[in-house]
Amino acid sequence: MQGSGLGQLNTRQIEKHLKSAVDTLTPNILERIDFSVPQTRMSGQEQQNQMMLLRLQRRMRRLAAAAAACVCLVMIGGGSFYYHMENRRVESIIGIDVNPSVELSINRNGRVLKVRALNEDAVEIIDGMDLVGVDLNVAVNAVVGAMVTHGYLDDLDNAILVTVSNDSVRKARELRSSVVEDIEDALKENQVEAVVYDQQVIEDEEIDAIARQYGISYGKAYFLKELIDQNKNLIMDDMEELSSMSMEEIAGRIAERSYALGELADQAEEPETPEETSREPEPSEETTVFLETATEPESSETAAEEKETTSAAETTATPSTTAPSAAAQEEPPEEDTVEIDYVDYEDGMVYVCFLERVKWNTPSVVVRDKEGNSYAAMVTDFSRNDCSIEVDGLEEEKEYTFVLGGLYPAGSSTAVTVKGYFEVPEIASEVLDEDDTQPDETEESSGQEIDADDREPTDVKDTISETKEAEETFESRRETSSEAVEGDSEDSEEDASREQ
Amino acid sequence: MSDEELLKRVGAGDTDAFRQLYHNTDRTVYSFILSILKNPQDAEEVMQETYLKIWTSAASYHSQGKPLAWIFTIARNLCYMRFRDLKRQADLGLDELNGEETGELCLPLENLADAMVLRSALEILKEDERQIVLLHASAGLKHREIAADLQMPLATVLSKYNRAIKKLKQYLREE
Repeated sequence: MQGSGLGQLNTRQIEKHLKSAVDTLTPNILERIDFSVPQTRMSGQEQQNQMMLLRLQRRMRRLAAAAAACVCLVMIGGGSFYYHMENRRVESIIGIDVNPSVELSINRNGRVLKVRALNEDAVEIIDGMDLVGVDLNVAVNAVVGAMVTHGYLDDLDNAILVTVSNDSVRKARELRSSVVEDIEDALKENQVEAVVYDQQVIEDEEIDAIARQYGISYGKAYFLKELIDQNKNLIMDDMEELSSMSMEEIAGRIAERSYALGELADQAEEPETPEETSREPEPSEETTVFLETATEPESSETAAEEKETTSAAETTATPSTTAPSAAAQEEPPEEDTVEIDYVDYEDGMVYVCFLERVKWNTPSVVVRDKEGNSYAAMVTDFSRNDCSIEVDGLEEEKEYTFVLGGLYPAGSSTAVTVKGYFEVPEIASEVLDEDDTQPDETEESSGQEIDADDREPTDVKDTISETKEAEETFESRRETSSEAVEGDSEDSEEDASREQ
Repeated sequence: MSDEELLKRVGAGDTDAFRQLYHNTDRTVYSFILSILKNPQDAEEVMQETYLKIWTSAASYHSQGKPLAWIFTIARNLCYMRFRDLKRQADLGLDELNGEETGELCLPLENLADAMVLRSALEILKEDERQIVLLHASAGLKHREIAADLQMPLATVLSKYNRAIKKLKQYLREE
C-alpha cells in the first residue's frame, strides 16, 4: 500500500486512509476550553449579527422585506407575537403556469397568504375566489378547477408548470412533490390529463429582469431561460416568441424540436476530466429540477389503478412532450446508451451515478419488484452525473428494478431509458455500527467493483457476477435498456457511520 | 441524547453536555475546519476557538434541527477570520519572520500512505470537494447529512464526492 502502491488505491482504501489520517490528527482540545468564560445571552446586537450571518448564508433571498421584518421581530422577542408573525411571513412561493399564471404565497404552515394573478388570463381565473387563509392543497385544487372551467385545461395536450421557491432546498423539494400531487389530484378530479413540469428555483436578478421585461411569471422565465441555456439552437432572442406561448404550446415545441430540458446543477469546472467539457453556464450549486410526473406511478396500494393512470398519462403525453423518450423506449438506438457507474440504496433513496455525462428532459422513473408491482417513486434530484430516486413502500431483502426515462447521453439528442437493479438490504434504514471492522467487511466484498468507474463498460458485466455472490449489505446491478448489458458497480455509501 | 438536546443544555451552562457534544462532534468539526484551512496547526487553533464559541453562544442557538449546520457556520466564520489574519501576516511579511514555509503541506503523520492521501486531498481538491470528502470519509457523515449541513442538494453532494474521489485516484496513480 505504500509508495508506488498508492496508485492502485480504490475508493474504500482512499476513504480509509483519509479517516485514519484525520483520526490521528484530530487534537483533543476539550481540556483547553475555559468554562469560566461567561456564556452570553443573546444581546440585540448579537442576534442581529447572527441573523445577518444567516442571511449571508442564504443566497438570493426572496422577499427581503419579509426577512427584514423577521429580523426585527426576533429582536423584539415577543413569543406569541413572534409566532403569530411567523405565520404571516411568506415562506414559499408557488407558481402555477398554464397560460394563466397564478402565484400563491404561503406561510410555513402551508396556508395561503396571498394570491397574485400574473397575467390577464389569471385575473379571470382568480376573480371572485378568496383563497387567503386556506390550505395550499385547497387553493391548488380551486385554481386548477377554475382553469378547467375556463377552458385553459381541456382534453388535449395540457401542460402545467409548477414552480416552487423556498430558501431551503429540502423544503422546496418536499413542497414541490406535494403540490404536484395536489395538482394531479385536481386534474384527476376534473378528468383532465396534463404533463406537469415542476422546478424549484432560486432567486436570480437576471431571471427577475427577464420576467419583468416579457411580462411573464418568474417561474416561466426561469423555465425558458433554462431551456435556452440548454439548447444551442435557441438564443435569447427566442425569448420573445417563447414568452408569448402558453405552457401547452411550449411543451409542444419542446417535443417537436426535441429540445433538451435539464438543470444547471454542479459547478463543473473540471479541467482534470477532459471528457466533461462544460458548455453551459453554471450559476450556482442549487439544483433546478424539471420533472414530468405524469408518467409516474404514485401509490403502491393502488398499483393497478395507477398503472392505468400511468399508461393513460403516457399516451396523452406521447404526442407532445414525451415523444422523444417514448420513441426511445420502443426503439433504442444501439449507440446511444448511458452506463451506470453505481447504484446505491439507502433509507428510501436510490442513488444512481452514471459513468458518462447525461442530460435530462422530464425525468421519470418506475420502480417495480420481481412480481411486477410498481412502487411510488420519483426522481428527486439529478445532475449531469447522477440522480436520486425517492421510493416508498419497499420491503427488506428484496430485489427491485428501476427504469429511468427522460435522459440523454451527452451530445445526443435521442432519449434513452436506463434500467437498473438494487436490493433493499436487511437493515435498510438502520445504520450499521460505526465500528471500523464493519465497513471493512463490506469493503472487501465490494472493493472490486468500486473501481468500476475506471474500467471499460464491458468489464462491468464480469463484475456483476462476482459481486452477486458476495454477501453485501447493498447490491445493485444495472443494464442499459438498449443492449441489455448487465453490469454492476456499486459504491455502497459507507454510511455505516454515525447516525446522528 | 441528540446533539440538538445537548446544545440546548450547553446553552443552559451544562458542562457535561458540552463534553458529550464535543465527543460527538470533534472529528466532524475538525474535518470541516481542516478542509477549509488545509493546515493542521491552524485547524487545531480554530477548532479550539470554535468550541469556545459554541460554549459561549449556545444560548443563542435557535432550534432548527440542524445543530451541526450551526456549528459549521461558527467554524466557517472563524476560519475566514483566520484567513484574514494570515493574509495580514503575509502582507507584513511575518511568515518569513516566523520561518514558515508556504511550500509543501506538512502533515505530522507517521503513516506515509495516510499522509500522502490526505495531502493530495487537501492540495488538489477544491474547498467544497474537500469539505464533502473529509466530512464523509474522515468524519463519517452520510451524504445526506452533509447535504443538509452544507445546504446543498443531495445530488450535488453525491456528484461532487464521486468526482473528487475520481480526481484523487487519478492523481495518486500519476504520483
